[in-house]
Amino acid sequence: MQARLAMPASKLKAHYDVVVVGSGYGAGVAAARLARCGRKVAVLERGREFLPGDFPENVAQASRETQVSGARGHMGSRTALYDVRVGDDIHVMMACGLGGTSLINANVCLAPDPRVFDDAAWPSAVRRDRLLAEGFVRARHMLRPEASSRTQSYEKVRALRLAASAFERSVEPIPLHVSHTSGPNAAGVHQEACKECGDCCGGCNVGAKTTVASTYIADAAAFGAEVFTGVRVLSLSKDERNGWRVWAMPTDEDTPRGHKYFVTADIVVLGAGTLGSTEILLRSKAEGLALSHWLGSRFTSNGDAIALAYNNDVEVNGIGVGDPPKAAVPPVGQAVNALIDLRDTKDVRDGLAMCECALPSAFASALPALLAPGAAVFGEHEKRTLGDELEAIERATDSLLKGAYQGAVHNTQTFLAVGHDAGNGVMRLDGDRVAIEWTNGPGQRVFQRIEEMVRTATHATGGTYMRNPATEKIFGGNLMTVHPLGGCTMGETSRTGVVNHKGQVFDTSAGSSPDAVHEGLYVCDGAVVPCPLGIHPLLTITALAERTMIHLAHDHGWHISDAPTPVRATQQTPAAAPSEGRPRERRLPWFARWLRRAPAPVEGE
Amino acid sequence: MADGSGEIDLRALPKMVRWYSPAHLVSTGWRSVVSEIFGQYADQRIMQATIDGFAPEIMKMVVGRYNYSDLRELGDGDKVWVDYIADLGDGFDSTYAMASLVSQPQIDIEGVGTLPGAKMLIMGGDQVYPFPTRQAYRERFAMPYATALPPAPDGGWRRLLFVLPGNHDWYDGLSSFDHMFCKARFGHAAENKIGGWLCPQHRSYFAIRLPHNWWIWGADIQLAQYLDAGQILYFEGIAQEMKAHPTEAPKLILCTAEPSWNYDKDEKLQGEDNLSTITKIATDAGARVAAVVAGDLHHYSRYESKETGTQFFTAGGGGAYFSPTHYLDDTRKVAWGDRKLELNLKCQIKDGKPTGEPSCWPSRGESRWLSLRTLAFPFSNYGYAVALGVIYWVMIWMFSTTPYNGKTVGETILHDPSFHWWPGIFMLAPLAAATNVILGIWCLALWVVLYGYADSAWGKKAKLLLGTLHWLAHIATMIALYYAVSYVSFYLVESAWPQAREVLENLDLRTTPDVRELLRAIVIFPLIMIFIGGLVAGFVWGAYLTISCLMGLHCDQAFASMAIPDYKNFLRMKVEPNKLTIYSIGLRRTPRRWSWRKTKDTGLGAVAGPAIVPARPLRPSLIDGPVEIRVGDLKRPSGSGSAVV
Ligand SMILES: Cc1cc2nc3c(=O)[nH]c(=O)nc-3n(C[C@H](O)[C@H](O)[C@H](O)COP(=O)(O)OP(=O)(O)OC[C@H]3O[C@@H](n4cnc5c(N)ncnc54)[C@H](O)[C@@H]3O)c2cc1C
Ligand SMILES: [Fe+2]
Repeated sequence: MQARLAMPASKLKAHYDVVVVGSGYGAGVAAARLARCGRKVAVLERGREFLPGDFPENVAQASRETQVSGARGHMGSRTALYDVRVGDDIHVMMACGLGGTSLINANVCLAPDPRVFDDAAWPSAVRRDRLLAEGFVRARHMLRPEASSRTQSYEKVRALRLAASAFERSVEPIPLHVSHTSGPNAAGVHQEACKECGDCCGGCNVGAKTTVASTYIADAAAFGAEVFTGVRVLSLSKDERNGWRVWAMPTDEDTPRGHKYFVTADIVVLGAGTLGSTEILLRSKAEGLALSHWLGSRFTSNGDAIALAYNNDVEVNGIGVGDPPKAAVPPVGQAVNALIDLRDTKDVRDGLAMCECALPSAFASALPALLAPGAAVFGEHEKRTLGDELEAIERATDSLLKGAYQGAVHNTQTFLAVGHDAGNGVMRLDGDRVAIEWTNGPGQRVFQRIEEMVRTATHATGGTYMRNPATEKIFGGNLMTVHPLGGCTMGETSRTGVVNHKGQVFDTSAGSSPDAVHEGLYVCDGAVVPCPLGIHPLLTITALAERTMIHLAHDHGWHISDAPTPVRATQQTPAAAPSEGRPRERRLPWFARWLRRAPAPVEGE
Repeated sequence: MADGSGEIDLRALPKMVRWYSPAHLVSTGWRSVVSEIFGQYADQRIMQATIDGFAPEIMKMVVGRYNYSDLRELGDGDKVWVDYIADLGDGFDSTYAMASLVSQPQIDIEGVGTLPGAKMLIMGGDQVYPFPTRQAYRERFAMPYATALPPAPDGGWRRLLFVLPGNHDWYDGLSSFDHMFCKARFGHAAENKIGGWLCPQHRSYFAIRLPHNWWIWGADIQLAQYLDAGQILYFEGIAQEMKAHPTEAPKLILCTAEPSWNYDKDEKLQGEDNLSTITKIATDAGARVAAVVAGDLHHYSRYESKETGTQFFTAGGGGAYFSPTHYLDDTRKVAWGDRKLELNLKCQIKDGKPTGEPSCWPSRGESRWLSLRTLAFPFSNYGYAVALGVIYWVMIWMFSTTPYNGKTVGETILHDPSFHWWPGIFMLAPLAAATNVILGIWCLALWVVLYGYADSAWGKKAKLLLGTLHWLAHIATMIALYYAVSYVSFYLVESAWPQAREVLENLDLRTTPDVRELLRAIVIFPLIMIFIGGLVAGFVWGAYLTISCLMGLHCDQAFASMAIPDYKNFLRMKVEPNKLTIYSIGLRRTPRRWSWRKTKDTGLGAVAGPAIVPARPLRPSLIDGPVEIRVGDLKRPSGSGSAVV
C-alpha cells in the first residue's frame, strides 16, 4: 500500500541542500535523483496529499475539490485538487496535490516524433549528447507504461476504430502508466491491478494509477527526502550566505501578508508546472532577480483540443463507473486507450493525433443535464433519417431519465486531440496570479484542422459534434488546454531562452555574458519545453527532467545511485529470510546431495 | 515437394541423422577437414561483401536495410513479436513439430495464456544436418517450413525469415546457404520465398531495426573463427545508425552462432574473441545489450549477468538431437567489450518468480537420468557396433594366430593346461603385441584413436587417463570375448557339424577335422564375434559414454548417439519500448512418424493451412520465464560517446 509521505510545513528546517518546488513529473524526478545523490532534499508542494480512496466520488465531492481562478478572483479551496485557470484567451486545467497533474491525467506515455527535436527552438546540445534518449529510458523505467492487453475490446476503442476508418487508419493501443497487475511498482510501492473503471482523470481510487507520488516522490522519500504539503512557494531571492531563499506561505491563506517565510537552499529546482514555475520566476523577476526577457513567452497549449461526439449510433461506454462501480456496464477501460496517429506528415508541424477519453464518474450524474441542452444549442450532426433521429431522441431522454450510463451519454465519445500550434502565448503577472495572453491563439489553423478531424470522426459514428462546452462562445469562445507548456523555455543563451539545455536559469544581470547562469537555480518541468510536442507531454517532461538531473549530478561530481528503492520502515513486508543467520550449505557433488538432508547439529548440544 | 505441394510420402521423409553410422563418420570426417580449408582460403563472406559493396555511399544504403521500425509493419499494438529458433533441419518429426509450433497463428500455453505468432523468425544456425547440400536444405529445412507455413492465398509471403549460418551450414564453404537464403543480393529481395516465409537477407549476417530503436544483430562467425573485416565494417555502420536516434536509446538483441560463454577459450582465435569484438562495437555506440542468444548446444539454458543485466540464452532446440544440461557450470566468465563478465546459471524463473534453481531445461536431474539411455548404444547404433565387431575380430584374429612357444597364442590360451589366464594374460598379451608387429600397430592405432576421441574438458592428463582407460576396457573386452566366443563356437560347431558334414559330402568336399576347425574359425567365430561380439563392444563404448556423461564429459557425443528428438525449444520475444520479454517455450515430446496426418485426409485442411498436422495437438509449455528484461535495469555502457557519462 501507498504510505503517507507528507509532513506539515511546521517541520521545515531552515536550510536544505536542495529545495524542489512542486511535485509533478519534473519535480519528482529532481527530488528522487538528487536524494539518490545523497543530498538533503525538501519537496515543497502547495496541494495536499491524496492516497487511493481520497479522490472525489460524486458531484458534491468533486465540486468541493475544484478551484477556479481568473481575472475576477478565486473560487473554491486553494488546495482543491482540480485547478482550473480561466483566462481571456485560453483556459488551463491542472492538478494541485502531491504528485501534480499525474494525479488526474490520462496516463498517456507517448514519445514525440523525433523530428520535433530538429526544431531550432531546442538547444543543439539536446540533440547532440544523446542523454535525452537516456532520459526516456529512465522515465519509462520508473513509470512502466504498458498498454492494456484488452485495449481493442473496450467499446470506446471500438467506436474509435469506426472513426479511424474515416481516415483509413487503424487505432493504436497507447502505453499507459497504469499497473495492469497488482504488485510492487518500480519504487517498490504496492499497486493494485487496474479495475478498468475509467476513472483515471478524476483520480484513481483503486491505486492502479502510477502517479508521481507513488513512484518518484516515494523513491525520494525512501532516500531521505522530506516532503511538505500545503506550502505555496511565492518567489526566490539570493541569500548572501546560503545560496537561495525560497519564499513561501501556507497555501490555504489568501494573502501572503504576515504569513510569508523562507527556507534557504544551495540548489533550488523549480518543478511547479508550466504556470507555477513561470509565476514564481515572474514574481522573482519583479522583485529584482535578473532573468531573461523571454520569461513568460512561448506559451503553448500543445495544440490541445477537447471535443465531444454526443449521442452516437454505436455504444461508447465512455463514462467512468468508479470503484465500486456505479453501474453495471462492461469494463470501460482506462481513461484513454487508443490513438489515431496522423503524425506521419511531411512537415512534422502538420501532424495530429487523436484519442478517446473516458470522463470520470464523479461528474457522471451531472453529464446528462449538461450535455443534452449543450448538444441542442451548439451541436451539429449529419442529416439523420427519421428513424435514426427518433432513436437519437429516445437515447437522449433515456440519459436524462436514467443517468449517464444509458442512452445518449452512454453513447458519447470524448475526443482529445493534439497538434502543433504556433506556441507564442505570453504569461504575465496580473496582481497575484499569472494570466495568459494569446490573442491569436484560437484562430490558429491547427485548431480548425482538429475541428475538421473530430467532425469527420464524429460523423463516422453518427454522433452529434460538440466542441468542449467550456470553450463555447458564451463562455468566451476561447481554448482550453490540459497540456500547458513553455514560459521558461530552453535556449542556447539568454537571448533565445530562459534556461539553458541543462535547465539552469540564465543570469542577465548587467555585465554578465549571454550564457551566464544563476548558480544553483534550475527549472525542470513542462515550462522548459520550447515548442509544441504534438503529442501528450508527460513522458517528454519526465525525460527532459531526467536528462537535466544527469547533467546536474555530473556537473557537481555526484553519483546517482541505481540501487533499488529501499523498503521504508513504515511498510510492512514479510521478513526476508535471513541468509547470514543460517550456516552456509556445504558444496557437495551431485551424488552426495542427499547427505544434506541430515539435520545440522544444533549449537550447544 | 520442397514447396509443400505435391504428394507427400510421410514414410520417406528424412529421419534423424545417425551420427554414429560408419558411412556418415567417414564422409563427415573428411568433409569437415575440407571445409576448414575452404573456409580459410575462400571465405564466402568476403565474396558477399564484395558483390554487395562497401564503399561509403553504398554502406549508407546497406545499413538502412531491414528497417521494420514502423510499428504498423510488424507490430501488435505497441509491441513486436520475434521468434528465435536454432539447430533445425534434422529429422522430419522434430523439425516439423517445431516449425508448425512457430508457424501457428498463436499458441496457448498453460499459465501464460495465448501468445500471438511472431511476424519475424530468426534462425540461429545449423539449418541442416549433417551436410549442407542443396538437396539436404530442400528436404530437411525447406520442406518442413514451407509445409508448416504455406504462402498466403494470393501467393504472397506472410512472415519474415532471417537466417544465420552455423557450423553445419559452413561445411560446404557456405555456398548452398548463400544460394538458399542470400538471393536478395542479386536483386531478389521480394522473391526469395520459402513457402510463406520471405528471406530478405543479402549476406550471412544482418542487423534488423525494430521499433523504438531496438535492434537484432546476427553475427556470422564462420566455423568458430574470426569476424571478417567486411562484417565489422557493416556493424560499425549500423552502430552509427543506432546512435543517431534522439529519443530512443539503442537496445540490442545479439544472435551468434555459438554460445561462446559455454565454451572454454579456443586457442585458434589467438586472443580475438568474437563476442567481445561485436559487443564492443555495440556498447561503444551506447547500446544496451538485453540478450545474447545462440544455438549450437541443443538444449535450453540461460545465464544472467548480475552486473549488466544481460541475459545469455542457449536455445538450440529446433529439431536436432537433444543434448544434456547437467554438465553446465553454475557460473561462467565471458569476455565483454574490454572486460570479463561473471555469468550465473541459477536464475530460473517459474510462473514469473525466480526460484534460485539452475535455469536449464530439462533439469539437471532429468538430464542425468536420460544419460543412462546411452547404455542402449549398441542397439541404437548397430552399424557402429558391427564396425567395432569387425575391428575386434581382426585384432583377435591377429592376436590368436601370433606364434608363441611353438604354438599359437590362441592354442595356448584355450588348450594349454599349464597356462593360467590369471595372471598369465598380462604376460601374454603384451608379448603378443610385441612379437606381432601388425597387431602392435593396430593396438597403438586403437589407442591413438581413443585418446583422440577422449574429452579434453578436464585437461590433458585427464584426457590421457580417459583415453587409456577406454582403450584398456576394449582390450580387456576383446580378450574376454575371445574366450567366450571361442567356447560358444566350439559348442556350435559340435552341434552343427553332422549337418554341415552332410552338406559338404554332398558337395564332394573334404570333411576332415581340419575343415571342421576351419568352419569354426572363419565362419562361425567371425559371425558371432562381429554381430554379437559387436554388441558387447558397442556396449563398452556406450558404458564409457554413459559413465563419462554422468561425470559431465562426452555429453554431446553420448546424446548424439541416442538422437533423441524430444525436448525441443524456441524463444518467443516480445519487444516493447522499455522492456524485452522472452518466453522460453519447450516441447517435451515431439510426435513420432506414425502420429502425423495429412490435412486433406483428416478433412480439416484449410487451403492456406499446413498440409501435415499431428494427430493430437502439440503441447508446448513455458520452460523458463517469462524473462522480463527492463531496459532501465540494463547497465548503461560506459564510454558511450556522450558528453556526460
Ligand atoms: C485531465 C488531464 C489529462 C492529461 N492527460 C495527459 C496524458 O494522458 N498524457 C500526457 O502526457 N499528459 C497529460 N496531461 C498533461 C500532463 O499531466 C502535464 O503536462 C504534466 O503533469 C506536467 O507536469 P509538470 O511536472 O510540468 O507539472 P505538474 O504535474 O502540473 O506539477 C506541478 C506541481 O507543482 C505544484 N505547484 C504549482 N505551483 C506551486 C507553488 N507556487 N508552490 C508549490 N507548488 C506548486 C502543483 O500543485 C503541482 O503539484 C493531462 C493533464 C490533465 C489536466
Ligand atoms: Fe547444431
